[in-house]
Amino acid sequence: MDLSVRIGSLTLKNPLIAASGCFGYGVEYADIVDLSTLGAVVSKGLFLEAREGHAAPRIVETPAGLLNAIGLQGIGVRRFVDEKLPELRARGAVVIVNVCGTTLDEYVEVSRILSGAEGVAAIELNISCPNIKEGGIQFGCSLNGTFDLVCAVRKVTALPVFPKLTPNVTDVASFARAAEDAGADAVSLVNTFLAMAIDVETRRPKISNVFGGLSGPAIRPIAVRMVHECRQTVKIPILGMGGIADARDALEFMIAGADAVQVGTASFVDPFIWSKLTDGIRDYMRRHKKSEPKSEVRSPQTSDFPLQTSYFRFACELMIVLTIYSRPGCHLCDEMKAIVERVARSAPGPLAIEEIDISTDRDLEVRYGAEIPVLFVDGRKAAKYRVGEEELTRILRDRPNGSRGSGRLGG
Amino acid sequence: MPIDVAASVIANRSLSSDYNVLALAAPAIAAEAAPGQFVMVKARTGFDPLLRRPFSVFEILRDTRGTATGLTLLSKRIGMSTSLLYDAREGQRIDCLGPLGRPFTLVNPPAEAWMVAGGVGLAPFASLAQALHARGVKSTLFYGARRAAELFYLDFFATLDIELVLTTEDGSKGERGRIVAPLDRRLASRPASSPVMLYACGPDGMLAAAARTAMKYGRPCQVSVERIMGCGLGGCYSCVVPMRHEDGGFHHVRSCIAGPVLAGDQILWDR
Repeated sequence: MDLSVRIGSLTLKNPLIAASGCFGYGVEYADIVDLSTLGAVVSKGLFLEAREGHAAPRIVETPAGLLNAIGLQGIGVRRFVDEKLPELRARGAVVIVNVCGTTLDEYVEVSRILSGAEGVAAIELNISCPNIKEGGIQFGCSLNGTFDLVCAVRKVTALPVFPKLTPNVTDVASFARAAEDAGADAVSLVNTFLAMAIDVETRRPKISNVFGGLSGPAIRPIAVRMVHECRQTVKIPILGMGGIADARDALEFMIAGADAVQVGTASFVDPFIWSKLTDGIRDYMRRHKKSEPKSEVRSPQTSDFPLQTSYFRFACELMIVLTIYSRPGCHLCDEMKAIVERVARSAPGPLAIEEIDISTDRDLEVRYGAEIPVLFVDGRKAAKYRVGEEELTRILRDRPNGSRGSGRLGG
Repeated sequence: MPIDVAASVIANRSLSSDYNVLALAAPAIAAEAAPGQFVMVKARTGFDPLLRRPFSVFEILRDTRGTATGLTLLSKRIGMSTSLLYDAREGQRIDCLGPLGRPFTLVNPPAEAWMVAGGVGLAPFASLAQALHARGVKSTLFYGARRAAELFYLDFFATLDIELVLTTEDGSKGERGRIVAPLDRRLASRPASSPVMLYACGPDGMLAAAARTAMKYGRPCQVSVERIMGCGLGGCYSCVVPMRHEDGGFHHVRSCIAGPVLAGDQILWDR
């Protein structure tokens, strides 16, 4: 069963990614996890130079959560390229490098160095670490800062660029929008929540940095909400994360709108979690396959729309799924896309849009060639040639499985 | 390569109101474990507690033919996980990942081995004592605790021909005071030509004192440090210890993979 996903120009063999800061440089796990079976590995955050990070204690457990302030200890980008990247490459890992900086110039320089290195698949811009005093989050907490930084990095690299967003803002979706506008290929979210824990006997903070970032199952519902908010705002792929501990959690993020997911804290608890996650997703797809029309078992088509993948469609059982059969250069198709997109934005529940180019498939050409654009809602033909905004709104409201979609997600 | 097993509790022996020895059926881990290595244990499934906790391998259990059948953990009840382990029942399953970390480096005769334990810091020394005994190394255990009732396994060590030097803070057994005092005196009276390797495990204050005492007499000292660990595999960078760096500064090493056994004279104890 094909679990591959496309994140912009990058194809991952499955949507499961080891999150930055939770997997060392990847090489630490090379003997117990076949790195080539992961969708990708995100390195620990790297600056231009080495850093020693904060003093211990650096972590403390909180209810269903992990509070950390490591302080981005790291070996610096050049040593990473020289010492870690070759082994990761040899192990067949898809490597996403988490890039840090105290200044815009540092981000640019680190990105430039990585662009010249063999075996880097993408750059994740760390503009969201809550635990260092300078740089990082000051870009991630300002819309202009986010926009300018992504633009600057965009200019010096052809690698896909994924800013990693902080949840410590009022409206995370506006930051996803700023990243998208600046040319980001995808966004990663969420980083940890700024938090604090105090030992009431000693009356002192439980970690040396006083404040830390909270991860783990405790944050998952907030992270899912934020991913969904971003999904409704941007078209670029989303790498969703925050407390994923099993396959159902991963699917929850994907239903909310993530194209792939990152797993961190849970791999501390179970370093062998990866095969369990892929098995769980495969099982889910198998169980949900029957109810899906055959035409939906297709590779995703590149389009201006949010990328949806074949198996993601199965994960979307609870969502309204809109499928447009179209052809390049078709004026009516463009019109329909625009209307579907507009209606989708005001739709109350989670909604996935898939565009299928019939010119790539002889069967589809025969079936729909004379009717395009054809719109399917949840696998049922709903319109051809044209659809009006009011008409589509009514179709969505009155569709047979009215209890599916936002109703269930909302509890 | 570490192995993860849902190990059955073979036995749970209470030593006091806080200390227990938990025997786990983890033969594959036990067969591979070397003295000084540790396991990451999750006291129960679910998110409470969320993370595993590190424990030194205390004893390796063997059948009559010498095949490893399991291992034991020496635990002191201080929080949720250790409370759950204190109350664990026979047959209960406990996730156990290991063996992890770098073990002690063993010496050979004529060098002597002096083990220095404080409280629950006795944990790595049962298996070390057995390994040293098997090599015919003359060994001494310097063992300090709060009170006599918290000095455990004395017969076990005596059976291995290990000399015991005991201290208690209240003077209820052995010398009154801290364990580093008799260690210092013994080192002072030992001829420089007679090699001795120190092995220490206990609270940081005791470890620092033991390491400094060893340095004062020019003796090597391997310390087994205890840090809060997230993963035990080098992934999270939580368990760092500041070590001397050749450039005169310091470097944070991860005690899970560079340790838990580290050279006492390389640790920056005041940092």
